[in-house]
Amino acid sequence: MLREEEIDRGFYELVATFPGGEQIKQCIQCGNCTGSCPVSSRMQYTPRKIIEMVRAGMRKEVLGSDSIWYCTSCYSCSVRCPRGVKLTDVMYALRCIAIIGEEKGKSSIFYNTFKEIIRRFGRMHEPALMMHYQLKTAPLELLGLLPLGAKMLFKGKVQLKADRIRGLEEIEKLYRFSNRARLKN
Amino acid sequence: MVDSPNLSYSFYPGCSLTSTAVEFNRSIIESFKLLGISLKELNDWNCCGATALPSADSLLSYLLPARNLSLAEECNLDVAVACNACFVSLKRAERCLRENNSPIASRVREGLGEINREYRGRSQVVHVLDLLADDLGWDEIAKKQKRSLEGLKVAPYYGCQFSRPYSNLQEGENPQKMDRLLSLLGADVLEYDRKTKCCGGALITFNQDTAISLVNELLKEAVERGAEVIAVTCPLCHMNLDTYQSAVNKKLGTSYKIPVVFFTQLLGLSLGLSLAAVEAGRNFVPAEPVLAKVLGRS
Repeated sequence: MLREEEIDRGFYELVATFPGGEQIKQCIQCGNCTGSCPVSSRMQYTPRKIIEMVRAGMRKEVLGSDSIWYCTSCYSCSVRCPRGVKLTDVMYALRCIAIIGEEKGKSSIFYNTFKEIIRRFGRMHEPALMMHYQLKTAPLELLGLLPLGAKMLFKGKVQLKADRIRGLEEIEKLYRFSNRARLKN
Repeated sequence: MVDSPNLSYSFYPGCSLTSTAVEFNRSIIESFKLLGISLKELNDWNCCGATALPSADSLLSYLLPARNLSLAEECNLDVAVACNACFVSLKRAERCLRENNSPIASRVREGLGEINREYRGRSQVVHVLDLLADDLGWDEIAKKQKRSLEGLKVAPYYGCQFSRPYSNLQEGENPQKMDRLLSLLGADVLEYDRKTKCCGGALITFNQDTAISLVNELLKEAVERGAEVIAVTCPLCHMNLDTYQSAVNKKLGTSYKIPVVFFTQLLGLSLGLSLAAVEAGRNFVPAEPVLAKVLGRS
């Protein structure tokens, strides 16, 4: 049972400030998204329920659930929705809100690490991504990654040294611009 | 006789094509040369943020691809993209910036302004498979074919983001372009119901159980239908299906041993390239034996 004091009436408005967020007003709860989703059966709350929970102001339950981290950006729900809800974008919005709150769990650490690596090089460097991610989540399992890493190296699928782009200063400016824009909101 | 169309593009390889998917990169470059398509690598391109960055920083996930679009526009060329995730990321920024009145578009323009750049929507983003099908056309490819892929049983796997969300609903559910291309080259392209089902994407890193069960579904159908090889259009799909195939076997007790190749490697072989020129030796599940067999037959 949801108690009055647990309802966050500003939650929908917050989600609506992100691209695609506003559209969840149009949802008719048909469940096409849940039926199309390759991972909905594993989620604590299905995609259809997540939309209704956002509209009901159940901030804590939504952001605390594993559901928002399952989405693989396959866009099946987005192209099938009869009301034009881009649920992939809504999931992005919910993750951004959760990540700004605090880092919890492996998935949010993965996404934040991804962001840090691009800031450093201007490009992705998989070995750096995997190493930093592993150190933050399960440092003791780092050794376990070695056989895979070695095989990828052998197959010529790993660049040991990261490419650093010349326009790295521009990238840094874009990061700062995005940060400032977020703080203003 | 009509001359071949004179096609010229900026090429955005994306990060994977410089590391885990070098065979995709090389087979595109070599094949396009033979097809007379000019690709100029986009100078000093940056990571587009793929489908990971929108989960961590909404505005930045438009700004990073927008810088690449601005670079492409400076060259007055459309930008060809190979990786499905790069394609979606760049297309998403392109679509966003073509809208005049959306609040996100004006913030992205403002951000580009901070680095003295702009994007006016002149350079468009095109996936290499769409480019072959729509800009070049099947006839041009047929004219340049040197070898037939006759007898090769291929499961065509497009993954999610080649056709979703930026195509019509029918293409999103049942894309045909790779089917058409490989059939044209003589391959026996199989029905494959899961051609646009998800491989689990980045879940392979932080939710491996889920990703492995999705990969298993894909491998299972391909094997049941008698495929000798799975052809893909995306580096992450390739990694999940090939690099992690042994992890699927270990975890689920299966014994898959099906090679996974980029569709451009098959194209390249058919245009006369050698196994070495399409980097056929880089797979975790060896692809050379089955490909060599096909080449031997023709």
